[in-house]
Amino acid sequence: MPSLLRSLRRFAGAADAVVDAIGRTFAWLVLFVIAALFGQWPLRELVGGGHILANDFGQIAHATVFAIGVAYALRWDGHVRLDVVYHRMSLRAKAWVDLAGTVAVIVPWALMILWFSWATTVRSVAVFEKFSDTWSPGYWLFKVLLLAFAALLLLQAAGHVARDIAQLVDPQPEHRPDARPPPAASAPG
Amino acid sequence: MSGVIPALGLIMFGAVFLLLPFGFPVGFTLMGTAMLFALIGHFAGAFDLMLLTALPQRLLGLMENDLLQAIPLFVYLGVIMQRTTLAAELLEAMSGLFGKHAGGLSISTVILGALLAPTTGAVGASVLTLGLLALPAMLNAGYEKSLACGVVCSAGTLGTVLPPSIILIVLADLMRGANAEAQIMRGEDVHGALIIKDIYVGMLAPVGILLACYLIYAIAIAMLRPATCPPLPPERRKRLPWPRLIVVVFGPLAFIALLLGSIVTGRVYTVEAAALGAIVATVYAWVRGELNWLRWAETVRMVMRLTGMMFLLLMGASTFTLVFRGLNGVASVHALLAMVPGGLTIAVPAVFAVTFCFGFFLDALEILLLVVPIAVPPLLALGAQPIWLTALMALTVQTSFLMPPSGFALFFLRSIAPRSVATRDIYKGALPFLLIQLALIAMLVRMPELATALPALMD
Repeated sequence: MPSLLRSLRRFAGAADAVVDAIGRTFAWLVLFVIAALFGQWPLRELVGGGHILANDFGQIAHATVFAIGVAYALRWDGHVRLDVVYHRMSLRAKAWVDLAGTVAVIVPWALMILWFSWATTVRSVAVFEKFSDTWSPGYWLFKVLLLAFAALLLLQAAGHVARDIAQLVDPQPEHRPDARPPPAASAPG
Repeated sequence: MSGVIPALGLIMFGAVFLLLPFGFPVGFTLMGTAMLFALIGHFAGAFDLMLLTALPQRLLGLMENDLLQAIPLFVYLGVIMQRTTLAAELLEAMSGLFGKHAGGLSISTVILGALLAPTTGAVGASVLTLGLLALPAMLNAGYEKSLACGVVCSAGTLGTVLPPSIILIVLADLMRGANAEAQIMRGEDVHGALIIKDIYVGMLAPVGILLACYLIYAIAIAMLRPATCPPLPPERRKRLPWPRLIVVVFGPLAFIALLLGSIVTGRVYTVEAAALGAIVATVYAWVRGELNWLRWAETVRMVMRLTGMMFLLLMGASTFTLVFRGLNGVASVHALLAMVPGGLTIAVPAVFAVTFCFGFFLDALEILLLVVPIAVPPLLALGAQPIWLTALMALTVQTSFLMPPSGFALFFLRSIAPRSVATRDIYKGALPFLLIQLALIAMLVRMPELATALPALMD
């Protein structure tokens, strides 16, 4: 049993680490979004070309930021919740809520997205689908992104499930040691 | 059972509010409720599960939506302002301009609230930012507690109404969708396609009046009761040298002017103005030595997290409304509202009364994402004017945050205000602003032209 617990916790830590590494890396894309969406202005007014491409690529980068951001925010407990009751719950109750919600909502929802978008993504990538209105290349990236988004969410959800089970079987005072307290986590912006 | 099936959509709406208190993230709760009711509807023969295959397409729609591009840009700007001393410096420099006159800090806080408004994704957050910054400054200067609290609360809610803030961008996008849906419901082109620019322009007059009232109130207090908002003692007054002052105070003002100009003229897009602001703020922070690689990395990570947080809400709402429509929920709301005696004159206040109550426990994005796709298409189909409805919606939500006892802005200020500030001070301070809000809403109800005249004039 202790070894099972240990591997559950190790898996949860690994899921956190993967989501974290991907999040940290792709977070820099924020700067590309800024550069591209600013750059389209001089490109349009002064150069007279390339602004559409800049906007489309900025759009892909923007979508990447939020698609990965959903799992990244989940990892850092950054999603808004109704806090009135939750913050008074015991760690055990919180783990139950988290476990039930993750298993009943996040996992099936993400699986549904993967399942329904798989075929169109394969088709889109096979022909390197372009943007339909501007003919810029790279539209297929959105579809790949959708799969990556669902997969990453699933990974983080699996990590949560493992950690919640470990917590329920063998309670630890610091359930999620690196997560911030809810008000600060849900608030800034 | 047969009586329940048509009302399944409405029951689903109610179920959300039973599930939210468990404290699972709002976005996921919406997804879960939707999936649950899709299954119930399926077994009751009222929902076609194939509808759910449209979900990836809807998520792609979110990814491709070029209106929402501005969100990470504004979030970035907000995080930079928060993590550096830019906002604090701005407040200090602005209030410094007042010298020996009373009311410098309270007036500057209102202006700062307006300057930070575009970056507001959550009213709770902007009340926290302003509260941590301006409340101690005012209390130290000897301000009356209730005045200081009222100014911070109300200035913190300005992001709900000031275009093109994150909240208004989302509202505009939702209204565009609601309008298209209303046209399908009526089977005719009632108001034509809703142009985003018209929504923003429509907000300008009501928001202009609102801001003016806030400022007039702050100035009137400074003149009539200067003891409640004393000037800083001479030794603590800071007057920045002119070149710095121009950068610190007029830079942000120029940025807001550029943003508003982008709305009105359309020569520059909002995203371009926002991106420019982000670049300038970054360069300024680097030059001032307030950014280094580590802090910059933290900034972009925070932006990613907050952007992910907001888009999860959008995805949750998208899942929710897909199922709600599949269950014919919008049609039942329409039927319900059409049954209301007195037509729109009663239906509109009924919808807004419900919306107002949501402001006691939900933040702006959550309220709008829940209410607009569900209740607005029927109102539009019944003949309400979309631009007017948008302005009314934004103002109602904003006002609800200031409503004692548990309006969101008051609640968040309470969480960070020092013990010496009584909860009664917060209520008392918010009251005058609440009255201003209600007066403006009443005015807008009586005179829809307040919102609709300007867009019509521009066409």
